[in-house]
Amino acid sequence: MLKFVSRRLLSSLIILIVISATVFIIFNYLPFDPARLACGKHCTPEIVSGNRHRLGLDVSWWMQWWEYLKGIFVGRTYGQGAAMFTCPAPAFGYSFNQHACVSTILASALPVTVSLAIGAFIMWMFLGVGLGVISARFRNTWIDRASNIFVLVGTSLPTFISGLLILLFIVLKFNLISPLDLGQWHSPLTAPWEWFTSFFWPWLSLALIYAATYTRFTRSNVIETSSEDFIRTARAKGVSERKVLWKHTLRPALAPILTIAGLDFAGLLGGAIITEQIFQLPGLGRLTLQAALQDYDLPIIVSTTILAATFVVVANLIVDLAYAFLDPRIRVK
Amino acid sequence: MSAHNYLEVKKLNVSFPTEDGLVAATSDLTFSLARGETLAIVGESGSGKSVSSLAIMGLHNRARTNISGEVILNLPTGSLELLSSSEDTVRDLRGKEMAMIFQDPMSSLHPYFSVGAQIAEAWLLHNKGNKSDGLKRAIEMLELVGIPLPVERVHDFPHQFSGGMRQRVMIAMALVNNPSLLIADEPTTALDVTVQAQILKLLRDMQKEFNMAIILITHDLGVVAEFADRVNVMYAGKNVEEAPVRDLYYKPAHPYTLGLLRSIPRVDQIDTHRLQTIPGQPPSLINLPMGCAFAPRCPYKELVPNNLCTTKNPELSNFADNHLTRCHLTHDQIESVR
Ligand SMILES: Nc1ncnc2c1ncn2[C@@H]1O[C@H](COP(=O)(O)OP(=O)(O)OP(=O)(O)O)[C@@H](O)[C@H]1O
Ligand code: SF4
Ligand SMILES: [Mg+2]
Repeated sequence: MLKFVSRRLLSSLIILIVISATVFIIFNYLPFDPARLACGKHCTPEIVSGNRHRLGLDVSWWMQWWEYLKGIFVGRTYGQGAAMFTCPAPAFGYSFNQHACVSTILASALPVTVSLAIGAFIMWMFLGVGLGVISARFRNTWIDRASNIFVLVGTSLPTFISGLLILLFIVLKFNLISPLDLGQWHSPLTAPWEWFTSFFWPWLSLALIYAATYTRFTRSNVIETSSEDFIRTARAKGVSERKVLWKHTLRPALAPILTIAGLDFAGLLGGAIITEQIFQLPGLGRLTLQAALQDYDLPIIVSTTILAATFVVVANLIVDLAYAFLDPRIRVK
Repeated sequence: MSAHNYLEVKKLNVSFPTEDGLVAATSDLTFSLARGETLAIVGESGSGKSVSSLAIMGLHNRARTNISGEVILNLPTGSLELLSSSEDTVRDLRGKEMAMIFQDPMSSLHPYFSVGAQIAEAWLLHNKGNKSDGLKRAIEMLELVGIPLPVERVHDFPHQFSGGMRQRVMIAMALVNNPSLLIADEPTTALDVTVQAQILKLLRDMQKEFNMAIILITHDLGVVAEFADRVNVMYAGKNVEEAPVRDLYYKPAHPYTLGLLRSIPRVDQIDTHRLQTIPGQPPSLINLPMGCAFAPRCPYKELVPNNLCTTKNPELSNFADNHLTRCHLTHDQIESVR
């Protein structure tokens, strides 16, 4: 087991290094020049090259990459003399657009995205897995048929439709959140109720879509597992139906769902671009969108991209370990 | 059917409603079994062997299966008809009074639990005790079925055992509560030949030890000859012949059994009876044909007058002492075609 864990840790680390390098290579060859974009109306070649130096773009991509990685551990200093300033570790670069260290910007966006992801995740897991198990257990009854309609609607609605419908016809119509308050960040530590109400509808609109997929997946997995030989063995021993479901069926049926759930959750941590946009939540998704489409803010784009990839890699790692914990066949190999 | 019989199955019918129609997997199945006795059930794939034994165990989903007839257990406390008993009553008997082992020991053991935990569970379901008592029982059972180092191996998972060892684990689990009836559904089909022999020997030893009745389902007529007291031959969901092993081999009474016996190669028979498999296919179990289900493949149906074979269903009747068959041919006709 220890060997398994350390091997998986090592491979995750390697993957992260490769991904971050890839990001730098890609942005190095993209056909826009941040040094030029950061240059105002009266632009001269001198200003552009000065910018390029300040942005750290006058060296090869792998030097930029190295500086970036180093900054994460030891912080990073920009400029010289009186104009000198430092982003403390972990530094992810400096946004000349927003005149702030990227780490500061990320630190304000991250709690929003994490709140959105966690709440939506809990909601859809309860809803999706619960409904899936129930409709498998009561297969071909009205409960199953009702949940099937939910699955059909949920999987065919795109997020932006469900989000917009909820925003227009519930939240704004019944004045549940005043339009001015939309997108206001409330910390769960200081204002838990405001935090909850401001996130409830975004959670719901995200969760409905995921829950539908999870309902279908859970239902088919539970039904498939119920027809396994080892379930018949459990019944032959005299195990009660309730225990057949809870003890013998659910663990193997839900293990593969865990894998997908981990990755979906990680994907959301990278920023739920559409939902954040609709509910005007200042999270990573909106940050990335704005940096990419409006400001061409390279340091931010690089960092949010790497951050999103990191979430996925870490989730992968956790899921693999959890799976090994659940399934002894993987553990021993 | 006398009262000293332990298990009596009477006119058992099992059918499944499907989109294509009603699948009559078992019809009119009748047999009985005494304590300590071994009955083999043979028949080609799809003849209803597994469906029938699952019905005896009460393992079909009652909502999705039509079952009629009688399955009677004569227990020390009195007779009990299982099909009309509550699910709870039958569940209580499962694993305690009657147990079952299956063809594929890999897929029949739960991959997520240690073999010890699975055997202990079977014991704890029907006995008072805690987990460590259960584990102690599991170790005893593993030892009994011949698993080396049972104290260490009790914590291992099914995938850490070989096929034969897994089947031993299944047997240990089935026998942990000392059942009076064991149904073994092709217990050796998935194993290689030497292991097959070991498992059969183990089953026989266990039978002596616990005085169990065994229903052995198999394709292998060689296994039947060696292991069983009586044989029940099934075709298209019906038992077409039932006889003590010797009688069935030397004086088969049903044309289907004749065909089966001719399909096994035997040195001393090569000259007289050429090796043959029975031509044709078993009938669809949806809308079974009128008359004898074997008629489309039967080489002797012309011997029966008035097309009786294709119009009237033959009843199970006495061919000789303890020897039943389901065929319109007369005793003499059978003797002459044999
Ligand atoms: N749940 C079910 N629904 C519909 N048909 C079924 C069901 N279970 C079994 N059958 C059908 O009943 C028939 C008898 O099946 P059964 O498994 O008893 O055969 P078998 O004699 O055990 O064959 P084998 O030697 O291959 O194990 C088959 O045609 C099978 O397709
Ligand atoms: S009843 Fe007729 S068709 Fe059926 S086995 Fe006997 S002879 Fe053959
Ligand atoms: Mg079978």
